[in-house]
Amino acid sequence: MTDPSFEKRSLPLLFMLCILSVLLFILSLGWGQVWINPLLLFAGSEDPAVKGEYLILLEIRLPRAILALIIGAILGLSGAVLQGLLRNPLAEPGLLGVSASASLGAVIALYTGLASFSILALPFSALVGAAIAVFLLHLLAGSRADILVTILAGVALTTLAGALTTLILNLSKNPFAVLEIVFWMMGSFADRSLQHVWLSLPFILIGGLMLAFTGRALDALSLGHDVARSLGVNFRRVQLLSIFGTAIGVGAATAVAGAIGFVGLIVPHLLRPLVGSRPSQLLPVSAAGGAVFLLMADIGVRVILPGKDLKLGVITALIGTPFFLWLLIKVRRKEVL
Amino acid sequence: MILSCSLSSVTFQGKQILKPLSFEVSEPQLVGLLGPNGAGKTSLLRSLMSLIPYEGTIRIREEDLKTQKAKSIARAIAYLPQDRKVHWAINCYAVVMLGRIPHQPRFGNPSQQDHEAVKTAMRQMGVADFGHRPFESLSGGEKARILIARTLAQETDIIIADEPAAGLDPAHQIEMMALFKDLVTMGKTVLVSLHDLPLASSSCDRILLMKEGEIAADAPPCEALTDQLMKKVFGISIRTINEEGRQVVIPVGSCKNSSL
Amino acid sequence: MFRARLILCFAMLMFLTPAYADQAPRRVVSMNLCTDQLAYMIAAPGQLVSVTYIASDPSASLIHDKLSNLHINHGLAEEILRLDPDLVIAGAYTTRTTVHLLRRLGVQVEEFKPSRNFQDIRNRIVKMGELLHREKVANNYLEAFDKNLEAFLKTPSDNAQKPVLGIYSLNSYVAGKGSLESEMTKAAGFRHMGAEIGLSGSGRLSLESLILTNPDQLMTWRRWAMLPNRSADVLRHPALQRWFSEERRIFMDQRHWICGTPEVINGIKALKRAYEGKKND
Repeated sequence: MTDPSFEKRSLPLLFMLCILSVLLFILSLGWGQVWINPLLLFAGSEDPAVKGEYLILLEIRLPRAILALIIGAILGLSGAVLQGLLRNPLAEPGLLGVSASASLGAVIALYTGLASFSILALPFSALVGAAIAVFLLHLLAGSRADILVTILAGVALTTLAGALTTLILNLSKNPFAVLEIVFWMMGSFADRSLQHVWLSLPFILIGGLMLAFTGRALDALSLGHDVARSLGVNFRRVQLLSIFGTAIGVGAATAVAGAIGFVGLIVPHLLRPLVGSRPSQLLPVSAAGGAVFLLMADIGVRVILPGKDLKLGVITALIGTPFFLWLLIKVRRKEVL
Repeated sequence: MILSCSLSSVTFQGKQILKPLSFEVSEPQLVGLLGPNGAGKTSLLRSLMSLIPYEGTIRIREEDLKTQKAKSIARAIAYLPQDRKVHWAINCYAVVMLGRIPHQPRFGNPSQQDHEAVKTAMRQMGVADFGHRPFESLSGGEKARILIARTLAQETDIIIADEPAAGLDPAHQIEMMALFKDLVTMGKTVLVSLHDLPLASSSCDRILLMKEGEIAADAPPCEALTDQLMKKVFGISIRTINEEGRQVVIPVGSCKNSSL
Repeated sequence: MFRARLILCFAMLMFLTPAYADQAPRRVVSMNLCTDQLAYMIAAPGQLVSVTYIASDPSASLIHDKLSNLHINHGLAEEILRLDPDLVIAGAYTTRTTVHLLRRLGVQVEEFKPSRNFQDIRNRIVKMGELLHREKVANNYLEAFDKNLEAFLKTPSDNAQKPVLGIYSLNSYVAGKGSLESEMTKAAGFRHMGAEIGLSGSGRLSLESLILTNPDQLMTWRRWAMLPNRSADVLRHPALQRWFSEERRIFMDQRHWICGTPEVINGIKALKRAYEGKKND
């Protein structure tokens, strides 16, 4: 009875992406310096012959795969939400300086010794950094939704946060601090532990949940700010959910994995036409798509340069930058016409 | 009583935009809101939708809007903005479905009732088979129809349109006013702000003429769009022609220099 | 006073350049952590006037608490010129721009390459002695160094029987064959993991590769492992902790291992002691 033209079903797509991410998750567990059968995870560590492999699987590859899954999901989701909120196809936590500001927050926590007081200081500091960035962005470019102003504001924020991060690492007494700049700018899942998972998972879940509540309002926002309000949307509430959801989720993700760009740009953009462009339909598939994307990228870094710890952000930037430029040209052309 | 509005003041950034004014609508009507730029037309419309704070009382069907939640206000008043822009490449059916948001829970797919309302609205606006087409691909006039269908799907008693005729060619302007008249026959009250005197005089049931935050006249077009009032409010001279029993007002010249 | 010194400085730059070889340098500035420490050992009292800021870092330098009479420099040409040096000692690969600038201004700059084996250390002890005109002191260090080294190396045994020592540093860094670290490890009676897996130079070894390589003993740096930063995170990773139990971990003072000075002897001794202590337990 329903109109088929409306029901461009996002459910089958979501289902497919979930299946795909499960397969990639398993592949991510198995793939590494040597292939380890992921089923070993359930077999336990009784057999001394596979004790080392079991340990690697449980303590190194499992956290790595989980982080790729949840961080990919939150980055994809927050990209979709920010695009809907700012009505800007180029919005993305990495490009808008949210990730860079989050890593600045994390670096502050690490190098002022804040992180040694409480294990939660690291993610909290990162999410404060992220919140400030989203807030500033919204102040600069929020209601007018001027695409280029938003992007330029993001460029400025990214540069500033990067410079301050470098400054703090320079001031640090630790002689190896400067080497870490690369980590914070480029992101990686290598050699993370389950501790990192426990540290970030609750925040990512809370942030994700907040973002998930914005769907209907983002639909309304596609008709503009005033119409959305005339449809009964509480704009302040949507703003707060988007800002803090992004800050909490992306902040925690960055605190454990560094700044990983472009996921939130590429994934929603590729999936948008498949769900009929409606922002609410885009949210769940972007989360699943983000997980698929980062799992693939993280397997990619191990395939392309095994044993070299190629940074994840290098891969996402190599894919993302041309994509971004293409999108920019597309957006500009549309505005001119 | 469909709508009763009694405002004592609306201020913006410390400046009083609307002075005390009141009006009522007791039966479905096409009400044209006229006045020079800065007269407060948009502020009045935005107050009616509770988009800006106001002092006074606005009642719809005897319910005070200040006691109502945004969602229930949205079930009473729909809004058609000036720009015909939809930000994403959504198809027309989905655009019209956006009108159902005040009737939907936060999550979940549209109900049967939602689909019925959307289809009815599209049929009434003559765009029943546009469902699958991307909104962006439509012409200006077609976009207008879809967006009016969107407000229709909202199933409100009142529809507020802020300069909807701007940017349309004369044929589409006339067509749009005809659509508004159709809405009135369906039992809706349409409040439309306009700049076009011929359009207003030939279509509206009633004119609210605004000047400097006040209502200068509230009457049928033939009484509101008089030589005298036009000179006073707009500073223009007009000519009136008779067309199919209606007085159509045409502005012919500025009389600012001579009269002031 | 300062003006006078500056004028003197320029005067020296202009007129005194050829006079170096005959006289012992009186104002020596070192611009590299390793030359800081070597020069400090060999120089006459008052001869060394400045060392780098890293030399005052307790986690990197063995002389960090002995610098009260010395200027601290950051490897910047301006501050070094003000010190009015007649000899500047620099590392061969760091602060390149400063070295070029100083040379252009006529300052005598001597460079030391990083040591990759014991012969390199011997050479640099000799070179430092000659530069500072302290050949005798240098010779004493050299003799003691050779004697100790001989003691380490004279007990050859079946190589295959020796345990493999993996040294795992910040950011997962591992040194390969042909490194000082590798030579020191062998002198202490181990096989060196980096050399065993065919690594040359140095590189990163992921944690899972480390576990799969499975060295008999895992050595990490005592101070750096506690740093609250990303680089050290990997040294606290639960997988590392679980795989390398207490009896397979050795914690060493990194300061004996960074620089090619006679102090490496103490590093080797400490490592031997730590391992023998474990065997006796």
